[in-house]
Amino acid sequence: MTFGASALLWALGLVSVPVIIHLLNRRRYRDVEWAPMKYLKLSIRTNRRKIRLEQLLLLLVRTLFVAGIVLAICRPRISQGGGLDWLAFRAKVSRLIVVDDSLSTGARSGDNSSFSIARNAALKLVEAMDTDDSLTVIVASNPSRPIATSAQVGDQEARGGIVDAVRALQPTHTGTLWGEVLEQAGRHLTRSPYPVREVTIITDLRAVGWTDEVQRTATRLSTADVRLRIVDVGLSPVGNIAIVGLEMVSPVALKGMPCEFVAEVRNDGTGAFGPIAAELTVGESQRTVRIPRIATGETLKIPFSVTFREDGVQAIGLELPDDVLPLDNTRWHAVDVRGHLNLILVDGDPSTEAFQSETDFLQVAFTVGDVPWRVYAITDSEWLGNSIPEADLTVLANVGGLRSEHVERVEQLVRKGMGLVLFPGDQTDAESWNELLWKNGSGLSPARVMGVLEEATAGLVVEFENASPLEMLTRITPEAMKRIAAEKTLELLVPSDEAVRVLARWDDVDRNPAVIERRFGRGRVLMFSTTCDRAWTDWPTEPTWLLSIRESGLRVADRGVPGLNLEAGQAIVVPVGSARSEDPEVLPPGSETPVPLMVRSDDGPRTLVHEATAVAGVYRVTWKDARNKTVTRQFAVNPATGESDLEALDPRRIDKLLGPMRPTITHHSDLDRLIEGEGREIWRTLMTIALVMLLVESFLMVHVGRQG
Amino acid sequence: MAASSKYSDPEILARIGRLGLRARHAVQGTLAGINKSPALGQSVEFVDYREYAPGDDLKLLDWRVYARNNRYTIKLFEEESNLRATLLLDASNSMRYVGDRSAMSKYDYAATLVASLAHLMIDQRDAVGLMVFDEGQREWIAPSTKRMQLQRILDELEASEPERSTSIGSVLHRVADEIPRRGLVFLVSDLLCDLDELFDALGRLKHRAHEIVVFHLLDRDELELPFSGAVNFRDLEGSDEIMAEPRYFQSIYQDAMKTFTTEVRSRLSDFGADYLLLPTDDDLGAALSHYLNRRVRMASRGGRRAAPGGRARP
Repeated sequence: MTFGASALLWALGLVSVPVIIHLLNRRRYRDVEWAPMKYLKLSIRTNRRKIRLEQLLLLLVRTLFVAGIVLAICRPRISQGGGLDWLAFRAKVSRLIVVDDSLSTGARSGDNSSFSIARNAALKLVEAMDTDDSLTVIVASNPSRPIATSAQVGDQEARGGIVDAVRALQPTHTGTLWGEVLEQAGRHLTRSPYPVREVTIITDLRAVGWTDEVQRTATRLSTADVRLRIVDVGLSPVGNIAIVGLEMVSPVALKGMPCEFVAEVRNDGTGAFGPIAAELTVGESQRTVRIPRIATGETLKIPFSVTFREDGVQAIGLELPDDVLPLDNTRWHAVDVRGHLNLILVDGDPSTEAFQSETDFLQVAFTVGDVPWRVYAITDSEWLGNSIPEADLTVLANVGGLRSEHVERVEQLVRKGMGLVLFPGDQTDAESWNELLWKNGSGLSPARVMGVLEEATAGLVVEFENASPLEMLTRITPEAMKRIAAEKTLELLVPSDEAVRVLARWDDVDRNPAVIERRFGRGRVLMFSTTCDRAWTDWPTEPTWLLSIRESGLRVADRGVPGLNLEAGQAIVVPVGSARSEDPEVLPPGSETPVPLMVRSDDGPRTLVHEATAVAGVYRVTWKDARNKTVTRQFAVNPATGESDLEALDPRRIDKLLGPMRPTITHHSDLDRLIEGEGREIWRTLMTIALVMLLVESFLMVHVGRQG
Repeated sequence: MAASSKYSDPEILARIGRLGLRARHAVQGTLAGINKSPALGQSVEFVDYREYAPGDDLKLLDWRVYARNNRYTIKLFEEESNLRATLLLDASNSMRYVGDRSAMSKYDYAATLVASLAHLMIDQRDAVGLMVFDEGQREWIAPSTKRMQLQRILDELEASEPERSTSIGSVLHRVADEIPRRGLVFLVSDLLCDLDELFDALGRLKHRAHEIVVFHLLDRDELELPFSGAVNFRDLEGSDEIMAEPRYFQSIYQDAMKTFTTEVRSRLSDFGADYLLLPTDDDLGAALSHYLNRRVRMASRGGRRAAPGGRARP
């Protein structure tokens, strides 16, 4: 026998109350001086046994009454098929089944996968349910939306609908946060019709996703007396090879130019993996990428390059051969391939003489050789007067005369992704700079200008920073770097800000910053502390100048359309703003039928949204623009990386996280026993017995002693 | 000066006083057939006059009254009255009991009853005596018709306190010896004693032609056992103690008490004795007047027959 509210079993001690009252009553007595003792004794003697029996009977009835009430409140349950079946009044239960459809359930052993076992277990549970119960089925990939719900499973049509919904379930590429799943399960149950509530989680019990949040939610649900059962459909942990990352290394993807990528492959297998050939798909074409030998437990980064022949958003995919978990063997990356980059060089001090303008050396750096730049060199007055055009990169060279409306426009463009490079000069006014560009640390400028240092300095030291725009310079010889010198530099105060980092310093006593970067919205700002002409430095005449400018410029330039790469479960969002966007549709991977996109405009610009991304692959979004031309954009949805780790959840951690709910954990092979042993509640029977005892007690109280 | 005592209840006396005359006739009538006193006119005390009736002894004519009033009256002397009543009062410890519903203890109730009867007898110029007893004779006041007799009786009633156990049988045997002449014997007791001994002694009294009236006093609690919860019963006339919950055997006890009173009534009826069960929460005046009324009606119907015993109805 089990109890639904076993915490109340302590109240069984109350059965001693009638006994205690009986004993106390015997201690509390009245003294009476009595004359007819002979007749008193006669009465007692005549019916001594009967009196004793009646007293015991009353005590028994009262004790049974208290015990009946207490046990009924504790919601006892007896096993089905046990000898006490006749006691059970069946209480209706609100049941919720959670089917784990996360990526890890795709793990196979022979012909079965954890997911197929989970699906079959769910079907079995649905078929075995009592007709009076209510049922809701949710999946771990989307717990807020039930896939099926029924107020009474007994209704044949409703049950059929639930069975069909469960049969149609497929595994996804998503990861699961079990705290959120349990929270949603609790919310569904609060809307359930019956007071007895039960959650059955069918899962492979992998460690990933079982965070401390689970414990907080479990504690809350345990106080609401929700029963928890877990059906373990995990197969024995086996080795898994997975592509856990696929990223573009090149700062910008340019048509016709090699674009560098790196794939991360992890070997959780029991032995070395490879060398093998992975299949790389770029658009319609395919080729192989060699994966070298990877030792067990190792993660290897495999670089490769792709030259895109067309511009626009394109997707590449890398695929390994199938293994025990094929769902994480393919990864995609969507790239916005640019035909060219637009670069605007703003000259703050133009000159007609050669190499006397601020931007002359910049033009040389950006236009020498085969480059993807379209360079527009304009004067500051032209730039300021033409409502500041968009570009992939804008360089302000010794530009003075900025006003706040200009700065606001530039801020807007940088936030959207435009790169900005700032060079000082003689026209640089510290006060004006700080007011318009620094803005106490909230502006575009990475640093506050304190003044001009008129001290000669020589040697540039590049800081080792992750993905630094000056990374290339780390390969330059120190001698070459020492030749970079300046007569004058800005004295800069660099804030302690996560968005700001010093990329290079002058090799002087104070190690003054030479090049500083700031992230601003989606864009980046580079600030040099010396001029881009020979006014303060001869650096533009050094060979290192060209490399520095071209590489750093490329790395801070606009990277193209954002949000093209997502994890399974994340929504695809396409901001369209006020632009016309008719008939938005999305074609999910593996499907031939497009589905409409949602259009949202709740708190800002209009966006096209698609949330059903549980399956990884390339999603093709299309819509018609103002010219009725179809716009296409591809999005790469990738498997949840963490789910590739098939480490089993430690039983001690299960206890820690779910202990308050005292779950029953059953292996899927014992599911039949779980179904049989569910038991039935007998609280109604006990309450009936208690009421009968109350009536009997009342009857006995009236009739005891009344009849001889 | 009228006799007074805490047991002289004016209401009761007023209620039964009017019956005294009838009672007297009834008593005289009841005694019809009983031997007249042989001691008439000799060394007896003059108590009263009455009008001459044909057949009266002319020796008893009071010539002085005739000379004064020209009326023929004869003197009545002590022995003229045939009624000699003896009141037997049980003053054992069991008479001490007073229940929650009673205004007085059994002894007080009994003493009031005895005082009332004594008043009645004295007022009727009948001789009345008193024996107070417990396990033996405690006090004996021989019957007398003197006015002082009443006060003596009342004083004795007040002075007595219930104590010791009950042994009515042996006492009644003594009474039989103390009152050789037949008369009325009133036994006022709870009769919580050996019934065989009692009836054996009553038989002796009966043999001596005494008329016996038994007033059976019991408290309502003793009849009904109304207690709830646990009670420790302590014997008033012994050392026994019984802890019990009366609720469990109340009906059995009531049956046992009913059997007891029925047996007493039945056996007294066999003796031809009067029996009156008096719960001490009953109105004594009403009960006594009802009983005396019944005796008067029986007397007026003629012949002496055993008055049915039983409880007096108010």
